[in-house]
Amino acid sequence: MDCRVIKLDFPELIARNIVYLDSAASSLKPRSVIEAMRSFMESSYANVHRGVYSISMEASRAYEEAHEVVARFINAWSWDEVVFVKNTTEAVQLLTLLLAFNNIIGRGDEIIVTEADHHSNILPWIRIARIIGARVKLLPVDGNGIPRWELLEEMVSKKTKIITFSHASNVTGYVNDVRRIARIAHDIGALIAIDAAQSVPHMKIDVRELKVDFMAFSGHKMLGPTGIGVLWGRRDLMEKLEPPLGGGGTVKRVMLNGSGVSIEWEELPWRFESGTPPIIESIGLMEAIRYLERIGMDNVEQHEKKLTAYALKRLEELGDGIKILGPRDASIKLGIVAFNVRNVDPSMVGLWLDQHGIAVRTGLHCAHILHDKLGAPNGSVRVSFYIYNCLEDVDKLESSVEELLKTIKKETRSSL
Amino acid sequence: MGVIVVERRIELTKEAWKTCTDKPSAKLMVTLEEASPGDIIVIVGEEDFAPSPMVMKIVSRWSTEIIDFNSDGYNYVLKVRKL
Repeated sequence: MDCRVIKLDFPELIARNIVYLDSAASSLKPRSVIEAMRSFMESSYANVHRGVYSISMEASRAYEEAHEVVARFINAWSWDEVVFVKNTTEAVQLLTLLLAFNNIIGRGDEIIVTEADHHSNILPWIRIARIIGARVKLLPVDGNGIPRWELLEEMVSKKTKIITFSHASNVTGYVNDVRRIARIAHDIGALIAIDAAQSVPHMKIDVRELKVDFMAFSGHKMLGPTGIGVLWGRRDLMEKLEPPLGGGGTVKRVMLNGSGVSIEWEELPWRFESGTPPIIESIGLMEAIRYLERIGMDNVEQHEKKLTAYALKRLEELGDGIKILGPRDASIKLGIVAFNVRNVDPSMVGLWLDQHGIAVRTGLHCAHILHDKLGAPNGSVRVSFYIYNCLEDVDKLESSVEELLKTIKKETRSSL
Repeated sequence: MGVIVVERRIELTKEAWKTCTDKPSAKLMVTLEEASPGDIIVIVGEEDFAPSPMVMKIVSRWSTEIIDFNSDGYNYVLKVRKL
C-alpha cells in the first residue's frame, strides 16, 4: 500500500493540508464513502422494512447487505448476528441491558473489567451492576498500563458471569490476548465481551478465532460515518434474548390478549434495532469496509506498526524531555503512542502542534483510571495512525515537538 | 468619547484545569479567535503548566502584540493586545 496515494482519497487532508494523527478518536472519510452516502440519499433513500414500494425495498435490501458486509468482515457465522446501533458506547450499553433484562447477570453476580478500559466499557457495567445488585471487579494494570491477566484466575469465581475488556487500549495501543482470556472465561462458564473500537479498524478480526461471545465497535473510527456502530453477538446466545428496548421494527405482532398485550418479537437482528435504524450510515459503513478490504487488513496493520515503531524511535531520540506512556514495543501495540512533554500540560502541547498543522488528541481520553495508574493524572498527548499517514507525518511531529523542547529549554536557561 | 477597551482574562494554570473537557488551551485559542482588534488579553500562567516562551510563540500566530510581561520564574502575567 502507498500512503501517499491513499492520502489523495481523503478530501479533508487535501483541503486542510494537515497531518491528522487523531484517528483513534475518529477517522477521516474517503471520497468513496462520502459519494456512496450522497448517491444513496439522492436516489435510493426510503425507510426500511416498512413500505412495499420499490425504493423502500431497494433501501431494505441495501441495509440488509450492510449487515452481510459487516458479518463477513469480522467472520461472523451469520449476518443476523450483527446489530446496528449508534456507536461502541451504545453497543456496550445495549449489551449490559440485554444481559440484565434477560437475567444472565443479576444480584450477587460479578462482572470483570480492567483498569485499562475506556469509560465506555467501565461505566455502563458499573451502572447496571448498581441497579441489579451485581459487583464490578477491576483487574489491575501494571506500570505500562497492561492488564495483569496473571491475576485473572484468582479474581474469577462461580459468581463471575462476564469478563469484558478493550481488545486494544485507546491510550497505549496494547493488544490483549483475547483467546487466552476467552479460554479462562469459558472454563468457568462466563461470557466474554470485547470493546473492539480500536482493533476492528486496524487489524484483521475473526470473531470465531477469537472465541468471543459479544463484540462492540464503531463505524466512524474505520472510515465510516458517525451514527453507526455494531453490537455483534453469537447467534445461539442472541436468539434466546428478549430486547430491552421495544419499539417500531422490533415486533412481528402486538395483540390484545384478555386484559393484557401479547408480543411476538421479530427475528434477529431486527428485534434489537428499535425505531428507524441508521440507514444512510449503514451505506457509508459498507463502503468503508469495502475500501479497507481493497487495501487488506493485514497491510493496514503492518503499515501502522511501521509508523508506530518509527514514532517511538523518533520520540525517544528527543531525550528525557519526553515521557512515553505504555509499552515501547510496537509489535504488541496498534498504531497509538501516548506521551507527555515534561512540565507542559498535554492540551498546551496539543495547541502547539495545532499551530504546526498537526492534529492530535490531548487529555485523559476517557480513561481516567488508566492515566492515574500511568502516573499521568493530567492526561497525555496521543498520536494515532491510520492508512493515510506516512513516515513524513512522524517526522513533522518529531520536529514540532523538538522545537517546543528547544523553546522551553531556552526559557529555563534564561531564567537561571 | 473615549474608546472602550475590553480586557479578557485567561488562566493557564493547574488550578484552572478542572475536568477532562475543561481545557485552558481551548479557552486560550477561542479567546484569541474571538477577541476584537484592540482587546487586551491577560494570560495568567504557570511555567510548569504552560511555559511562557511557548505561550508567547502560540500567541504570535494571531495578530497580536505583547504589551507587558511579568514573571517570578514560576508564575507569570502576560498581557497582549489583539491587532
